[in-house]
Amino acid sequence: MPLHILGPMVVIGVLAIAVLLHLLGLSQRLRFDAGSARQAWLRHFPDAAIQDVFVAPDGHAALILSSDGPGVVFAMGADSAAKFLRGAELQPDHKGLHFRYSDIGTPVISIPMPSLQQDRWIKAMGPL
Amino acid sequence: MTDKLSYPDVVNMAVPFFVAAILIEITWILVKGRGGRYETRDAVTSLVMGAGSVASGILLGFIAWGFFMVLWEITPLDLGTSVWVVLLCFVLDDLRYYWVHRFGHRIRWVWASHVNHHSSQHYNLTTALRQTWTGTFTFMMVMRAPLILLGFHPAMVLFAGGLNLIYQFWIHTEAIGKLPRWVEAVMNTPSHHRAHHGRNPRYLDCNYAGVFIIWDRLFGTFVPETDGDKVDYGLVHNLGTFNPLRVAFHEWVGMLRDMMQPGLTLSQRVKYAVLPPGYSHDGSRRTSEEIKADHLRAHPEDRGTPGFS
Repeated sequence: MPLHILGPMVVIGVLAIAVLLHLLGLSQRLRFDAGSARQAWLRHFPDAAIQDVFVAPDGHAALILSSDGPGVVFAMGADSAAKFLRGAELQPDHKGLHFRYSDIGTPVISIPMPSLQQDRWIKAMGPL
Repeated sequence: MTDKLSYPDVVNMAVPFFVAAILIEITWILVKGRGGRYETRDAVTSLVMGAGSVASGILLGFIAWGFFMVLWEITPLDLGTSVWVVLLCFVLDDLRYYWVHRFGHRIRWVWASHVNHHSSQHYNLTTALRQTWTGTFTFMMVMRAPLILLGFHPAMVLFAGGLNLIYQFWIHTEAIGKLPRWVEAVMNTPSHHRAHHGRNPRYLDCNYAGVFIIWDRLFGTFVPETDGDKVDYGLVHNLGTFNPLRVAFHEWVGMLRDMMQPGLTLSQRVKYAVLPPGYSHDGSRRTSEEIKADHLRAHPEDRGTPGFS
């Protein structure tokens, strides 16, 4: 197929499907409560004994304190991903907490929250 | 010897069919309320990966083609272009696909290219299009060399590979359950391939087939989709990004960083490239065998069941 036909067809096809899915309400991010955050964490790390769960104010992430150390479970679209915090560089700012990794598959996890809540999380997770 | 032979570029020709089939699957899921899930960013990432894979083929395809034409010049054999030869080529190319795919899961250098296809936590027709941009760098084109040296024209071999890829499109769906027993016995089906995309310990490293599931049955890698163990799609460690560039290159970067760590022996550096994903020189990570073993320690009742034999 000639490129001048294939190229526009691909671009229009991708855009059309993206707009359609968004209009159908399929861009919603996963929200956690304490129970679903716990379940999501165990899906990623089934062997970790969970000691405590702190859900972020917007519900899109949670701090997990486990027998293997602190970690974060966070929304990836309608699904979840999870990372231990060891090796992460914590960068708090006025918008929230940002955990930076030297992992290009998960370069940063940003969790919006007010300063008061940030202090609570930082105290709970301890030194990274 | 047949030098100038051409077949239609079936993958590019199938693009309108791919788009139409995705729209039909979305409609089916909405109308029936079952049969799969879609999420906007995940689907867009898959589609962009598919477009990038086509672009990569256009930009880098000449490398494999040049290699194949050198082999075609060397070989004294020419099987011709009859329908039977094309059919035989298709079956043997599917055997070739099985082994390339198996290497893609068992050799980290090749996994670095293939991993992006497994990086979605969804399983729908867009997942089929989440294809590699870096296949050329795996050097797996050498796996096609025997076919060409046996006398199958390079254009025919690529045509067979294109048909194989198109076949695999429709099996990336949850909208189709299990098919009649004879189909499930011989062909790769949505059910078999769902198991292949599972991150559950049971489903790690199984069902590498492209078109014919008989290769997995023959070589001992077949695991049926099991009702009591719902497939959980994605990677053992799922990605935290939808950025297609990161999806395409993250494992290459991770592998090269592992290989270049200070203080490793040459053997350890090479092992990071050629041993299965999950290898680490200090035992800090788990391979699929170790994940299965850990699962069996926690769930001894699963021992001897499919995927744990």
